[in-house]
Amino acid sequence: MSNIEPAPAPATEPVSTYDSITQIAPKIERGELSPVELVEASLSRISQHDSGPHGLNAFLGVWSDQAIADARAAEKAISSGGYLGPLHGIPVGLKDLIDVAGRETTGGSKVLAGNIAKSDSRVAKKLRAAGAILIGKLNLVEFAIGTTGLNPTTGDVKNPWDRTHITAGSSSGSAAAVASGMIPAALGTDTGGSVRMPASLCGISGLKPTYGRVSRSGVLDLSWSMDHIGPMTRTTADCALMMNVLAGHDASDPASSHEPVPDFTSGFTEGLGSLKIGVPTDYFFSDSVDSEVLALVRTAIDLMSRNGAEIVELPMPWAEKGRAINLGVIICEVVAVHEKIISEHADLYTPAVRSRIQSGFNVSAIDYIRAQRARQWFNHHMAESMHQVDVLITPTVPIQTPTIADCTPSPGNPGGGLELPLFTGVFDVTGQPSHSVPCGFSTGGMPIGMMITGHPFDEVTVLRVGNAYETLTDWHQRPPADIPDAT
Amino acid sequence: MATSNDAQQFDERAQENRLHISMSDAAEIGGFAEAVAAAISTIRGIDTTGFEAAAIFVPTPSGGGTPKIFGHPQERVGRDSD
Repeated sequence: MSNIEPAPAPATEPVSTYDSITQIAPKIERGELSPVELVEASLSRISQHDSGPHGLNAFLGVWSDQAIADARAAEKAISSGGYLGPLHGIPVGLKDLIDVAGRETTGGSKVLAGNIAKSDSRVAKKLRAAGAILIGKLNLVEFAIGTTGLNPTTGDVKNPWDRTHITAGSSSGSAAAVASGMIPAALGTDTGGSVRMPASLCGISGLKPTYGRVSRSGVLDLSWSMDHIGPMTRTTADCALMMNVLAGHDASDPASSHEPVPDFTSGFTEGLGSLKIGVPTDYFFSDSVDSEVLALVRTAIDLMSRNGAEIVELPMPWAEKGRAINLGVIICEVVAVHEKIISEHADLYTPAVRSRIQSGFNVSAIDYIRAQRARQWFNHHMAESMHQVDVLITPTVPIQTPTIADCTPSPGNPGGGLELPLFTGVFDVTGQPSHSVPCGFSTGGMPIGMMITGHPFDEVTVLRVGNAYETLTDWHQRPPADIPDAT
Repeated sequence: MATSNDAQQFDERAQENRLHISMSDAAEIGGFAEAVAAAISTIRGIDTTGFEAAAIFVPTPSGGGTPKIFGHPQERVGRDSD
């Protein structure tokens, strides 16, 4: 008979680094999982996978001491009956365009080194009020001006599924941090697809809400008439939980909507039955789209059709103009945002981003007006098509994930990746809610995303479709092979 | 449209402004400026007659609402303010 005593049972549940908020929150509420253990697990995970030559480089700053202190406060509050809801005790990272009081907001640029935010952005304030633990700032393309996720100033973010590949951007760190299980949720911003593209390439969920749904107050501008802030999480349900906290009118954002805020999970019980899903017959499904991407998205549509959705084919030949309008507006507004700073501190911008801004210097005001008029024209056509359906399903990006080497400019080669925003940018023009979910893997083992786009302010239906699809598949539950679960 | 879509031209401009620029940077400006030029060309080709962004110029009651997006009414309801 052994005299070795059995190890005591752990006081709380072990922390799975790939658990979703939906899985974690009930354990925290019941006292089965401590926010302190959860935050410590995140910090350990960040320490293990983010730094060093093979690190993902997702974080620009990690606030370990403050995060632990906040987690202890959350633990105490919850044990005293003060549970605030599903985000209470959940570590969340923020793209470094988003102000957090007392912390540096750099936009991933030397231009803003030492720029300490005097107050919280509205979204940071809302997350804090919901009990979330703000754990650090996330890497990005300099000032979010770019789509590949590469940043010579802060270092390139590597894709957790294959570190030789890009994450896409500009919310590159947000996607890599969530996809690698460092944190269950992050905030990104989306002006040409910067939430949805990296979500797609990293195998997670990313929602661009309707323009005006989430306040931009305290967030650096890229292109004010198209900037959106949205959640990036492991599942669609988690995006909905984040939206329940983030959405709402804010008088300090002139574009903030007064539209009533629903419970974003309210469609989850309804499934796909009776929904009309629009599938464009052109552009998004043209021969120029990667064949594996097309096959996986069509398979997903077939699955939804077999589970009750009605498929409606929609001719949308005008959609091919969308990215041009998106870029035409962005390039003018980005010059307006940066004109003064770049004239004084041009040498502090990375040459690539400076050159992108300079590309807009010679675009005339008349062309900007033309672009905004074209936007009205485009929105008119989109509204006519959307009247026939509840959501559109398309690929999120038209290509497979390029390598970092493919996207790095070299003499005579401007670098790849310009095709990345061809589809996502369309819905920044219209401001519709648009959501990317994983729908499979390429033969090379990289995630492929499907985009679900709905009527303005109808995120509930968009999330309903995403959640229903995720109940039928397990793509969103697969972790990157070389970054195993910590448990 | 006159744009800095030539690598040599960009290099010269950078030197005029005493800004270091590498050939790879110049290559990127070439690619991106071409994309911008193509976008502007596409936009110019769209007949936008009747699609002026009138909402920008339409007065709204004090404290009320934001411009219409996409023909979707946005009425002030107040209950979601914080």
